[in-house]
Amino acid sequence: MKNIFIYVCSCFLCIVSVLNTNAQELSNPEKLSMPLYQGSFIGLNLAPSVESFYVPSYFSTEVSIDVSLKQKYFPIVEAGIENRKLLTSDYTYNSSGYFAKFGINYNFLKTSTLVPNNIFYIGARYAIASTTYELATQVTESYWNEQGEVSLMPTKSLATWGEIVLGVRAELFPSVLLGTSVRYGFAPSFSKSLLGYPTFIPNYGLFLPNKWLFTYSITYKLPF
Amino acid sequence: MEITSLVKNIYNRLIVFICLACIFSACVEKECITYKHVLVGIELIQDTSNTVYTADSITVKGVGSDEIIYDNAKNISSIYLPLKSVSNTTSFDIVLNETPFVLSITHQNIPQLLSIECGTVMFHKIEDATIDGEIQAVIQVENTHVQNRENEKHIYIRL
Repeated sequence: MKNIFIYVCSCFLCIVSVLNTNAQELSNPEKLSMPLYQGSFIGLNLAPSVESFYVPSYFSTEVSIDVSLKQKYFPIVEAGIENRKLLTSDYTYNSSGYFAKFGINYNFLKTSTLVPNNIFYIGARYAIASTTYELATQVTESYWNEQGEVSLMPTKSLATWGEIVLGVRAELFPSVLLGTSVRYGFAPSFSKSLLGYPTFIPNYGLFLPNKWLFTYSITYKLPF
Repeated sequence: MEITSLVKNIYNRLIVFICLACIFSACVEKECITYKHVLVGIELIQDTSNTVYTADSITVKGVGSDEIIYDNAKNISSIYLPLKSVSNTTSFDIVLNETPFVLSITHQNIPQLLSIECGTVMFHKIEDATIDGEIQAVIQVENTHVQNRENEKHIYIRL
């Protein structure tokens, strides 16, 4: 938890320092006159929705809301749910949960009145997810030659992790934008009330120390 | 117009990069590379000097099983034993330097799915450990969590 906080703070400091180096641009009278609020965007991450369509035992959806501040800063909240069921001859694993990610994007592109909604950005996220999971497994192979079923009752776990994001979003039609991003997820941790752990964390997926994540999104610019 | 072409250029390159990343990741053969053995580690300790004790010989067999785990193994200071997955008590017949005794461990069994490729393993939480027999020794549970970690020690037998 502490490491994630340090990472996210470091990212914010980097972004702020980059912005400070662009202080000359702010002296531009046109930019000074630009209102802080430049619009709000609501988006849908397409990847989990598509996967939910063709994998019957998996359902996930993710939406995002972000705000353009001077076309440079984009505070963003991403949230969603994820349900997963794995059924094999050896085990049954069920999990359901939800997640939320908080962060900010910084747009590298120069401010523009021609294409104000196109952005190429770097960002950081602090993610938190809650999941309830249960597992029933058949014991077949063992030194003790035992047979039977052992179950883990529904167990709740809270997980956190950090993400560094690099992405692009461009206007396809007026107010409709397509975007994609590459994310480096790192430092996942979870509540350690039990000996075991959730195999899959909502949105993060299989519990690994770090991993690459991808998003493909469609976004609508709200008319206010 | 320059910004539009720049965005298109960046977008195209990013799409190509992501497609390549997906193709390469799809080509990776998915196999289990995780250590899957869950064994309770028991170390012999010389109680007077608090140093590792090396036994001249040791034989270990599970109570109720015909299979010998350690068959008159020489110069050994630690042993790794499988616990039962369904029952909550596991006992071993141990002969240490020709002195027989029974080690009994009571434990909880906690199933864990490692991944789709690796399947499940059974973790254990040790609740108690006792020895019964002619041996003069004290048993000490050092680590109650038995997971899929190699060479981890959980119980000390102080001789």
